[in-house]
Parts: sequence; C-alpha cells; structure tokens
Amino acid sequence: MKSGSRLILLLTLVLLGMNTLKAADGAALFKANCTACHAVDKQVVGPALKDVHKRRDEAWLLKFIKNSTAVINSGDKYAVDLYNKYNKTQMPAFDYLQDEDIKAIIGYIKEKSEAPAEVAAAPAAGGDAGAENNGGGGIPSATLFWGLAALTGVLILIIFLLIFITTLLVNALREKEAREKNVPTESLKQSMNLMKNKFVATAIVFILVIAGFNYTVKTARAVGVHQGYAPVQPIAFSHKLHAGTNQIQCQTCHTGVEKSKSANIPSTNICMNCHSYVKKESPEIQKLYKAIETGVPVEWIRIHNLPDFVYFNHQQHVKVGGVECQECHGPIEEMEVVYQHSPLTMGWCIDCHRKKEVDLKKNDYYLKIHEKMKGTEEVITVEKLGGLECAKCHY
Amino acid sequence: MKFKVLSSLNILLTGGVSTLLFLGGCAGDNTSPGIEYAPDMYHSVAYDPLSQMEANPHTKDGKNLIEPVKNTIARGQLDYVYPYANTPEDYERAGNELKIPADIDSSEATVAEGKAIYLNYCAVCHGENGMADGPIVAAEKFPAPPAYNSDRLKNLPAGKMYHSITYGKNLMGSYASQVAPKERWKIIRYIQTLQKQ
Repeated sequence: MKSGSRLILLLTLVLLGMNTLKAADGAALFKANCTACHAVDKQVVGPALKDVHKRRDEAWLLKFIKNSTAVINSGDKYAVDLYNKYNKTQMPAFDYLQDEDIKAIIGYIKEKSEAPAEVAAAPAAGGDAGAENNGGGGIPSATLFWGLAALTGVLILIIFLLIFITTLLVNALREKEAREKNVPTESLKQSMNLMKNKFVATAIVFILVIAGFNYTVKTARAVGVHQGYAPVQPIAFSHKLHAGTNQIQCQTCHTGVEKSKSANIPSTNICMNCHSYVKKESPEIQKLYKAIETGVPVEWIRIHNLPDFVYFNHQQHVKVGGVECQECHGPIEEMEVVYQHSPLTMGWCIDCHRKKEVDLKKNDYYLKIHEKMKGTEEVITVEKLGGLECAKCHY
Repeated sequence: MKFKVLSSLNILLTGGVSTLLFLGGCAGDNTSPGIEYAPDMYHSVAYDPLSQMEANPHTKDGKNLIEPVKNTIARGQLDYVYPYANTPEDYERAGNELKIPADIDSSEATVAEGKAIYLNYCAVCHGENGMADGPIVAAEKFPAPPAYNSDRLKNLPAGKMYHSITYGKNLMGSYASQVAPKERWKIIRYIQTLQKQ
C-alpha cells in the first residue's frame, strides 16, 4: 500500500517535471520564433496571443503556423479576416517546426494566458519603479542650495547681532566705569568713537573686501564657462537608464560621432526604433509621438557649446584619436540629468593635447607622420603633432 | 546713545550686504549657462544645423536643419538609391537579386569593421554573437529577435538582410538613417560569420 502510493507520487512528480520541461521548451521556442511579432498580452506586429487556444482549435493553429499563406488562400474565413485586419501582413511559414514544437508553444501561451496575477502585477511594479525614480534624488538640489544659503545668512546675521549686543554692553560698562571714576564723559565718547573706528570699522572693511574679491574673481572666471550647466530638457530623458542600465552604446543614437563634426542629437525615428514598442503610454514618450504627428520637432536645449571662433571635430577625436566619450563628457551613464562635465576652456583643451599620447602604430591616419618621426621622440603627444598650433583650431 | 544705536544698525546693514555678496560669489543655478561675454561670439552667426537661438527667416518652417530636396542625391551617395519597395514581394525579390558589392569582401579586416559597426547598432538587441541575448533583450525590456544561427535565419540571403536593415522587419525599425549602405554590407559580412556558428 505504502509503496503503491509512493509510486503514484513518484509518477506525478515525473509527470509534473515533464510538464514544466515542456513549458520551458515552449518559452524558449516562443522567444526564438514568435516574439519578433507577437506578445501574449498585447498586440505587437501581429495579434495578442492570449487565449488563442480557446479561439481556435489545435489542428487549425498547426496548419496556420506551418503555412499561413496556404490557409488564407484556401479561403478560410477566419484567416482571411485576420489577414485583412492586420494590414495584409503575412506571417512567414514555420514549416521547419515539428508538431511537438508548436504544441509546446501553444502550451506556453496557455500557461501565460491563465496567469492573470503576473499581468496585474506588472503595471503596479512599473508604477512603483516610477515613483522611486521621482523620489530617488531626495531633496532637489536647488531647494537644498537655497536652504543652505538661507541658513548661512541667518548664521552670519546672528554673528553681527552678537557683535551689536557686545558693543552695547561694552559701552554701558564703560559709561558706568567712567561715572564711578568721575572721568569726564567727553573724552570717553571720543575714545569710544576711536575704538569703533579701529576694530569694528576695520573688520567691516576687511569682510567687504574679501567678499568683493571672492565675488569678482568667481564671476570673472565663470564668464563663458558653462561647466555644470544642466538645463531642464523638454523630455525627461535619462542617460542613466539608457546608457547605464540598458547598456545602449552612445553611437547607437549619436550616430554622427564617428563620421562628422557633430555627434548629432538623435531624431525621433531613432527613438521610435525602440519606443514604438517600449513604454508607449508614458507621458514623456507621448511627447515624441506628438512631435511626429504634428511635425513640430522636440526642442532639446544644447548643453555643450563651443564658441564660434573655435573648430572642434568629433570624428577626429573619437574615430582617429580613439578618445572615449566619457573622457570629455564625464560619467554620462550615471547622469539622470546631463550636465556639462568639463569646462571646455582653451586651457583644458591644451592641457589634454600636451599630455595625450598618440598611438601611431595601429592607425593608418598617422602612417606618414609615423615614418617621419620614427626614432626622434620617445613619447609622441598631440602637441608634437602640432596640436598646440593656433591654426589647428582657430581659423 | 542715539548715535551709537544708529551705527550699530549700520553694522547690521553692512553685514547683510556682505552676506549677500558672499552667497553671490558661490551661487550655482545650474539650469542657466551663466554670464557670457559677447554672446554673438559663442552662438554661431552662421546658420548652424544643430544650434539655433531664433527662428530662421529663410526657411519655410524656421528650422536651420533643412531636409534634402526631394528626388535629389548627394554626390557620392548613389548607393542610397534603393530600388525595392517595402513590400513582402520586394523582400523576396531583394533576397534573390541583391548581391553584396564586390568591394565589400569577406576578408578578416572587413568582418572586423562590420563587427565594430554591429556592436554599435545591433548588439544591444541581437547580442554580441547574434544569439538574441543583447542587454535589452536579456533584461526582457524588448522582445527577443530570432538568433542568426536558428533554423529560420541561418540560410537567410544577404539581400534580405539588407532589405531588413533598410526598411526594418517585424518589431525592428529601419536603420537606414543610422547606417550607411556600405556599413550595412559590412554588418552583413559579420552576420554571415554568425550564421555559420
């Protein structure tokens, strides 16, 4: 009896194991063959496949998947309607799939259709992630800055209040002392004025001079330098998400970086290569859709801008020189909002041209100059190739 | 006594002013680019396609960035002319008729070049080795494409690949604006090595 029930248990386990094996196979097959056009719970290129096993019987599905064109041509009403509904897009023939493979795929779809909890949980999870994203930065940096500024102001005011009180007290004390010692008040007043001039006035002048100097130098040095500039863009695009988490290459969207002077701001069609599917409902993505529908382009705010009198070329630096994007633009893949990392001043350019070693050997671009310079220099920097000539950048 | 109070008020006043100056010195509003001396030297007077301060009076839509005139081809870009339409019939036709140009050979150097371009544009979904395991697909943020060495794609002719890169295929969008014709063929040379693996 006991061994009998054990056998049954074992059999059930084996069967269960086989069942999950089959479903796993189905998942792999579904991913390899179907996901380019189909999803279970949403319409992609083709219809959503949820409950497809309830809509059509297995024999019809087998026939349609193996050769949909033949089914449509045979005049099957359901197939023809489907074909017309989806802009006459034809599903390719999957004649190389075995019946078992297709059944495994249907099994996988069935399993997915009957798991409503996951579908309901998905948007909730998405919402949570969104909320986390919004709150993730803690207090906004602007609020923090002004809060600290106000606090500093209050503290400095307190210092002056204390000085004010001390002066009053000292004055009172002296007057009292003078009265006790019977010193004429006139001379006391004079000496007090002197005191005030000597200490307080000097202190005030000293502070004013330091503050003025600090202000002038900082302001003068920052003229035309946009380091740290992080404007609010029309779409809250996160480089941290795209280049960091999703590991999309910079060049995937900034297509000009290896071919031209500018790296290029991606046009909406590049966004749409993914966002025709991903997060279509997001209000930020909807701005893209609106731009495409109305023809009014998204007005991104330019962050890195070199003055008109200096020539800079991305291709020369990235393709020829092999400079990584991050060397100038900083940790872009960690920036929720992009800011200008480098000062982009002439001193900064020159500094790099002095230090940067050029790899002449693996680069056809430098073939001629390599022949010329062979054996003359130990280390070849950009400077040695004329990288400090005025006319290299200013012409 | 009156005079003293007044002068103390003066201290307070000057203190306040210097506080403001101190703060002014280190103020950091990072949503503004800051002070510019002679801004007309920073912002191109010539019409720069990627930087625009005001509407361009010479173009219809006010944009500096102008689209090429319809039915014109830039010099040296004849290969942008693609005679096949975005239809299933022309997909088949491209597969049968379109051949890789002679100057894009199957040498190791070309394949390596193709791989470099492939890594920039394709690998994020298709994966470095074309096994449909790119970071976005692995994170299940975008559905998986078929692997290049799968039964469905291992014998796919080069012409069909070129057609798919140009117009897009299924969920994949068009890469015509990102990848130049010669680059597309180089990518295909690399993919052909992936089909055989």
